[in-house]
Amino acid sequence: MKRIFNINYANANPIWLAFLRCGICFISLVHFISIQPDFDTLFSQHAIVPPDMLHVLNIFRYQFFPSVYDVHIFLHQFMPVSFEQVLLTIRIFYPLSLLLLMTGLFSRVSAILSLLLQLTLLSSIDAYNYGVDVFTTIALFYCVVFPVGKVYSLQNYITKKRPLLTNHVKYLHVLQAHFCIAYFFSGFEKLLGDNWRNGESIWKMMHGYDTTNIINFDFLYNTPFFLIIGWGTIMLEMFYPLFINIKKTRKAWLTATIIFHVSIALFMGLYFFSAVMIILNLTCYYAPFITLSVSQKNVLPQKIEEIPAATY
Amino acid sequence: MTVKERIFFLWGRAHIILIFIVCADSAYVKYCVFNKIPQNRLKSAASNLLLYNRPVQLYGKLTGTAAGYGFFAPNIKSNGLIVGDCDGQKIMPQFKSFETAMRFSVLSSTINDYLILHSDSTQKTSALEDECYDKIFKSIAVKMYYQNKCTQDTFYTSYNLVIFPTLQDYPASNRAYTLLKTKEVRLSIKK
Repeated sequence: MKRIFNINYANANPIWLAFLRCGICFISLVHFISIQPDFDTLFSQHAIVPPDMLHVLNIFRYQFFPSVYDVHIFLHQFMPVSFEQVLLTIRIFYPLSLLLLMTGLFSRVSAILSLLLQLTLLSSIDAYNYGVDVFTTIALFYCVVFPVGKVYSLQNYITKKRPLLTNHVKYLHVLQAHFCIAYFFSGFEKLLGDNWRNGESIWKMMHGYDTTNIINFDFLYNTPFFLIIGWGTIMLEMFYPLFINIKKTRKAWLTATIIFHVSIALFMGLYFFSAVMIILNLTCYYAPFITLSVSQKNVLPQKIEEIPAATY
Repeated sequence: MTVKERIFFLWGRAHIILIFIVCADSAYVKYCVFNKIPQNRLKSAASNLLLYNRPVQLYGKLTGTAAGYGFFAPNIKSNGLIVGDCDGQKIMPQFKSFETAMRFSVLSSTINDYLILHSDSTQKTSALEDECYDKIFKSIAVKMYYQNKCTQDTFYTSYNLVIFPTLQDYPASNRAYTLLKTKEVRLSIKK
């Protein structure tokens, strides 16, 4: 069994922590900027669905996390603050906290702030949320728990410290396990229906109203093309936990998964979802296996065995 | 092993087990709903007790583990589309960014899911929830009316499913998109 999996984590590169931190913050920032032209249409009191209505809808959808509306109601008990002022504060502080986290300044605090503000914003538009939001939350949560600020951070550069990092692999394994379960069940649930197994889902996906059909595959309707892609998706996701963890198949499975997410971006228009998934896949199964030069290694945190005995 | 490491060890395992249980529960529920079969009572009681309580849901929300990850499963549903009738022209809400339009289509699909559920006489929805959705319909209609500078006194908004011929029907059908209306909202504006 050991011979099959045979992935050596003893020399795993802690750069994956910086990759997770910077990657997810960058995508979240671009994502947040992308909705700025319509920010008021989504969040303000003049939104297409006003916040008080979405607040009531949240109750029916069993959403407990406080929205901007809840924060406003809470703060209004203590100070005369308007909804728009609360919204503006969150609108400024969310990208700021992401910027701080990305650069690695006060990483833990900025990660907590980023996660809470992201969830507050999401709870305010719960009925508009989709996959990208869940995976951004997951990534930001792991930025809170993992020591992401210990690798390639501005704080280390300013304090000229090489902080001690003990066994970062245990953090990596939690992240990997999470994604293996997520992919397996994503494939398994597709297997439960009938239209992923007969190719209808791929056909339907390519003919959705908001899809960005860059290439028209309609002429292939009488070939097994859609059937193969449907089964391919199921197999790719269901066997992800197995083949991504076997040394010989890891690169091929990772490449196939990235191609799969690029296709989702191109054909379904889910650009940000795909970007987040690609970042997370690279964090889990590419970044830990990057080999660094000696000069690059000097910026990384020290492992316990690197510290001279006299300093103990 | 230090105390900190021991806590992480225990939390890590509990966290992964929770993710597994949530995903398994989601798959089972979707299977039952899709095949219209009743859920096992014992299993429902267990998941209500274990998963659908405030602390676990809050933890799930904070960690992104509150629900399963079976997107577009078991089957891909038809998209929802909101269309208004402005001075004889078909209109839709206008957005400046693609991402917001994408998010609005999620809302349209959510509303259509609710309408389809509502039309199923075996499923119960509360009067308060109906009222909430009714207000949302009106709010969207008013916004579309003013956004498009419509001039008529009565404004109609319809909630539709976008239907494209299936792979099987495609060779014989007219190969065009059709809209299946799930609800129409009439809005009278007195000037």
